[in-house]
This record gives sequence, structure tokens and C-alpha cells, in this order.
Amino acid sequence: MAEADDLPPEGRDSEAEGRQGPGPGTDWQSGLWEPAFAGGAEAADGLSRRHFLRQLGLAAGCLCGLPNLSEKLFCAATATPGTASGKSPLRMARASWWKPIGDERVQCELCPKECKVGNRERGFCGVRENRGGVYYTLVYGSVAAANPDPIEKKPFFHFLPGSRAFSIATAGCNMNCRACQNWELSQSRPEQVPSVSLSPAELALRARQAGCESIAYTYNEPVIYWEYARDAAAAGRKQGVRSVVVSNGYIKPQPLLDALPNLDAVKIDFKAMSEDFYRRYCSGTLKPVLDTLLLLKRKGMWTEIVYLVIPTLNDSAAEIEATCRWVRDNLGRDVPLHFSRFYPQYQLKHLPPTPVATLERCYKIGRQVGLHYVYVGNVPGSAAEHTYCPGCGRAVIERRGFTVIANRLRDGRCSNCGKAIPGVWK
Amino acid sequence: MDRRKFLKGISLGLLSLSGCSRVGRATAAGETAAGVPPAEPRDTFAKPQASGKPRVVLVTSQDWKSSPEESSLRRGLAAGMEALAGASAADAWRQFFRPDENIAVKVNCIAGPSLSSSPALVRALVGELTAAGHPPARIWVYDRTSAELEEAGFELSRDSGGVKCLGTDEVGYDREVTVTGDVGTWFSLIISQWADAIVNVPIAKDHDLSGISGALKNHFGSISNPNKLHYPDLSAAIADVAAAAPIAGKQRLVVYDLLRVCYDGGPAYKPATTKAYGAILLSTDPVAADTVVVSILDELRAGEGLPSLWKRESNPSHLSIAADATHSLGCADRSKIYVERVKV
Repeated sequence: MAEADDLPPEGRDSEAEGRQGPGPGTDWQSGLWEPAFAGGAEAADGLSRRHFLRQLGLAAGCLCGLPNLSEKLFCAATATPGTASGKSPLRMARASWWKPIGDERVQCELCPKECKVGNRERGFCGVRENRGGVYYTLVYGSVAAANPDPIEKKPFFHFLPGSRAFSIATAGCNMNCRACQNWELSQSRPEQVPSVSLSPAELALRARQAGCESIAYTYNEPVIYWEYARDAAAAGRKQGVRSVVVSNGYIKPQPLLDALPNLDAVKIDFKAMSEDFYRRYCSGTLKPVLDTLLLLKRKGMWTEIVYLVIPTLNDSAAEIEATCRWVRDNLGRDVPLHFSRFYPQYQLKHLPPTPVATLERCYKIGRQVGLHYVYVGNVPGSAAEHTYCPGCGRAVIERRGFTVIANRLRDGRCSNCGKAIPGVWK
Repeated sequence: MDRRKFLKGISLGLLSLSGCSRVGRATAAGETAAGVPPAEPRDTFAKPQASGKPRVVLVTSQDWKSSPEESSLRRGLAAGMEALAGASAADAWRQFFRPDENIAVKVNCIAGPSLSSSPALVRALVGELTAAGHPPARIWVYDRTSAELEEAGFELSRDSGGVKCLGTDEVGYDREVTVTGDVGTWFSLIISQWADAIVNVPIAKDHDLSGISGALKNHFGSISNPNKLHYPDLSAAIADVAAAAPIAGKQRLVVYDLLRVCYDGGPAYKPATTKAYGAILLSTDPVAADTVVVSILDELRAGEGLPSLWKRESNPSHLSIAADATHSLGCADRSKIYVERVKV
């Protein structure tokens, strides 16, 4: 999911944060990124689509509407005939989690929305379509953003610190969060954003070649491309590349269980401890997310939680404390909880950024409740970016933004007092 | 340069291009005297409003129940416009659309060739407009995608000097989020940046979530994220989208395609419940148009022993929302709507 720190390569604050996309001259510009665009066909009057759009000048309108995409990454795509509007053809693959409900209608069984979809219609996510009573995913292997990011950007603070995660996204999402920072990806349909076709094995290979220890399914909501994430995680496992998921947790148990064996960590963007908030500001519901967290706990999956603190909407002390208590009582004190700073975007541009004092209050509440690993996100330089040993209080991992400044762990233990620090360290 | 100014520049460039082409073509054809008239301030244009009682014009023809021909449909449109505007057909069209305005014609093709806006009707509409002196280059027939238009039987046209027929997928969506009520969306560049006026050409379909997919819901095909709006409150979302400035500020006319209607089992095409009805309906009030069409569908449903759409859980509650004080899109009270019947 797309609320906290995790922006795709051409995201709005990427330059300000000094994030790096793939540079010129890298093998990213080679044939592996060749798009599978259709097009180039001439119209009846002999005027190609590309020519037509150029003539009208509207193609430029589309170019300015696609800020999420890395020019470097997609240089091949934009040079391909028939792509003047920057759109992609649909690649259909039979979906894995659905059932027919008669009269050519299907019911999706991937996420708790359980969309009932008529022939030629799509589910809420916009990336699954019923064609003649068969449900298809339109984003299997359709990669719309990719970048090797620091794992801290996801953020994972207890998973291979200092490593890089090959981060990918498609279009679409099964929620509609008013504060989404990647809304241009998450709220688009697959044909509305450029993408490249990449098989699971190719993705794993790309990640390995880029020196990434993991693939991160992120930026938009990976649940909506779950078949691809499942298969890519399996392919990555074969090639020694791990997989981490950055999700809203809005998924039904069976699809989650189907993919878990090849996943290594999950980060859940937890919106608020409030059904009303989920309904009003996310087009979702709370209960299934709590169920997902409990399932992850039962299965022993390394899990971290991010809570985007939005002024006036989910920032009351009572809500923060309720969240912290639930985490403590149901998941344990060792689950990292990141309170992340909100910046005005998408449909909440009228709200101010979260005051740092509010985030500090959240941090204090979390610590007072007894959580061992509470962090503050999107506030570079904050002392609450560091990992402190619950045994001796020493900072065992120091960070600034997405950079690890010092790592004083020894075999997953505090180098000062020897206490084991939970996480995936190697 | 910000994005809005940039797109405005594009739009002006397009106007310039299409205007130049049109002058040559129109003069050669003898359709207009002097090409593009001098620009007038937009706010001097009086948007036609139904005065007094909300009204719709229902035009029927026995010929249309079999294979409606373009010439016959043109006669029907002309008669309908005369009844609607109280003027000759040519004058009526000119009352609605100034020649220097770009007209976007929104059709509905999502259900495939058997349940889409009729290409013959749209050709008739375009024929009427151009015969009344409207420049072809200022008319753009659109839906979500060119592929869907083509599948429904429309002939795609990229002719910058003539009538265009292309989907939004060819040009994209305005990336400025428009927020109306609880809806946040991106509108087709065709209506947000290119069009000055919209003619809405919906079809009448039963809809399993909203009771009816008609004039108001047709504009789900003018936005980028219709899938996001079916949950949690589709009725409110339909009204919110229809009330957004790119639509409510530009829509001048509804030309309802009732040549074939689907009275149950929609919105997908269902042969067993799709019937030739042989009518078109014209109105400036999309809510009144939908309200009357619900009555028509209910009559057909009653004939088949089906309950009224209003008695279903998925009833057309969006009509009353669209008519409320917040949205003010028209009249949803059937008893207050005057239906003028015209036979051709």
C-alpha cells in the first residue's frame, strides 16, 4: 500500500529524498525491459494513432499525466510505435481466487470485498475482469514501476537492514485511501499507465542482477496482483532472492496462505483502529485487516506495521493507544510499529502535514503501552528512527532517513548486553 | 507552466487545428458561410433550461422496432428537437450549441454490440448537428475505449478536420483529481479539456446495483475509476459524478437511445430480457429522463411479471439523490414530469 514512505521512482519527493532510479547505461535499458505494447497499426485514413495524437497535441497531455514512471526505466517503451498515449495493452491471465455464481457472473475470493462481477465488468480493484463467466487478472506480469530501493524505505527496520529491495508495482488497488501518496498508480486501471511485461523468473533475475536481496511488492497494493506476487516469490526463492510484501492487509485468508510459504516478511499499512475510518477514508473495513495480522502472527511471518498519522482524522491519543494495546495484546511487544508522517495529497490536500509533536506523542504512547520497537517515519533525523535494545537501552541500529548509519547487532543480538533483537538479520 | 495552463494550451492548439480544417471543408461543401465565427465570451451563452414543468420528449416510430435507419432517425431527432425547443429543428440545434463550441457525444458501449448506443442514431445526431451548421471538426463521439466503440459498430475516426470518434484511452484522463461529494476521480480529457458541451446518448439498462444504468450513470464511462465507485455507496457516487463540473457544467442534452432496452438482468447484455422498444427520448434534464425511463422499464417488467425496479433492493435511489438540493441535477418526481409524445 501506498501511504507511508514508499514512493515509486518518479514519486513527488524522490529528488528531495535523494532516491536513485536506475541510471543511464545500466542494463535496465536492455531488451529485458522490452514492452509488449500492441499498436502501430495505421488507421483507415492512413494516419497512425501516434501521428494523430501528435497532430492534435493531446499526446503531450498524457505525458504530463504520468509522473510516476521512470523515464529511464521505460525509455524503450516510449520509443515504441503505438504508445503515444502512454497506455498499455491488457494482458489477461486467468485469476486464481474466484468462483462462478451463475448467469455468467463471478464472485472474487481474493479480498474481503468479494466483488460480484457481471460479464465484461471489473471488480473494485479495476484489474480483474469477467469475460464470459471467467475471471481474469489484467496485471499478471504488468510491471508499471520498478526500482531498487533501500529496504528502510518500505519501511522494514528489522529485515536485512541496509539491503536493497527490488521494488515493483502494477496499477490498481482494492482500497481507495484518501491519503494515498501513490494514487496515480493505485487508482488507475492497468490500461491507463505504461507497463512492461516481466515474467516471475525475469523479475527474480532482474532483482538479483540489480544486487537486491529481496523483491518488494509495493507502491500500489500487491493483493490485487497476488497471482503474480505468489509466482514471483516462488521464482525468487529458487534464485536466492527473498520476497517482502507491503500491503494494506485486505486479503482473504486462503490467498494469503497460498503465498506465505515463499514470502519472508510483510509490512501492513494499518489505517486506524476504527471501522468508521476504514469505511469513510479507505473504502475498506477494519476487521479483515486485524484478521490478517493475527494470521501472520500464527504463521510466524515477520511482520511490521505502519500507521500513517493524519491530523484530525486518526491522531487522537485514544486511537493511538487503542492501536498500541491491540498490537501488544494480540501480536506481542516485539512487533515494530512505525508512526509515519502524513503529507497532504490526493483527496486530503486540505489537511496540514502531521506536526512532529504529534508523532512524538504517538511514540511515547507506544513505549508507555510497552511496545519494544516504536518508530517515527518521514521525519529524517529523528531519534525515533533508531532501534533501541530493550535490554540496555542502547541504540543498536542507527538510521537517518533510509540510510543505516550504524549497525551494532552481532548475530541478531545487542553487541552491548547480548539481548536477542527480533527480526530477519541474515 | 502548470498542468492546467499546459492542457489549456493543448486545447487551444487543437481548436486552431480543427478550425482551420473545418473552414476549408465547410466552405467547399457550402454548409456554412464563413467558417468559424468570432469567439464570444462563454458566459453570454444561455444554457437551455426546461422552463416550468420538467419535460421529456418521447419520439417513437414503428419502423424503429425492426431495423432503424439513419434517415428515419434523423426525422425523429428533428421532430424531437422541435418539440423540445419549440423551434424548427435547425434553430433548435443552434439554440443548444453555438458553432464555435466543441461537442462531445457520450455513447455507451460497454455491453457490446447488442446493447450499446446505436451507431445509426449517433450518425443521425451528427448529421442533424452538421446540417444545422455545426462544424464536423467540433464534434467528438467518445466512450471509454476505441476498442469498445469499434466493437459496438462505430467507425473510428481520427480525422482532425472531421467528426472524431475515439475513446478516452487514446488521449487519456485529466490528472487533476476532481472531488465532488465523496467522489474523487479523473475525467476524460475529451470532456475536461476539449469539450464545451456534452450530448449524453445513454441506453436503458437494468443494473444489478443501481436499478438502472442510464443517463446519469453513463458518465461512469467519462471517468478513470468507475470500479472504485461501486462501493460503498454507488447511488451517491452516480449523483456525485453527474454533479461534477466537467459534466454538470457542460451537459446540454440527453438523447436517450430506447431503440433496444434491457429491462432485467443487466447491465450485461441478456438476450432474453432485451427488447426492441423503438423510441428515443430527448431532454435537458438527465434526472427526469432517467425517471421516465425507469417507468418504461417497469412497464416492461410488469408485462413479464417482474417486480418494479423500485421494489428491488438495488433500486434507482440515485435519482432522488441527484435531484436533492445538494446536487440539483433535475427532477426525480415522475408526477411532475411532462412527457410529450411524438410519433414519426
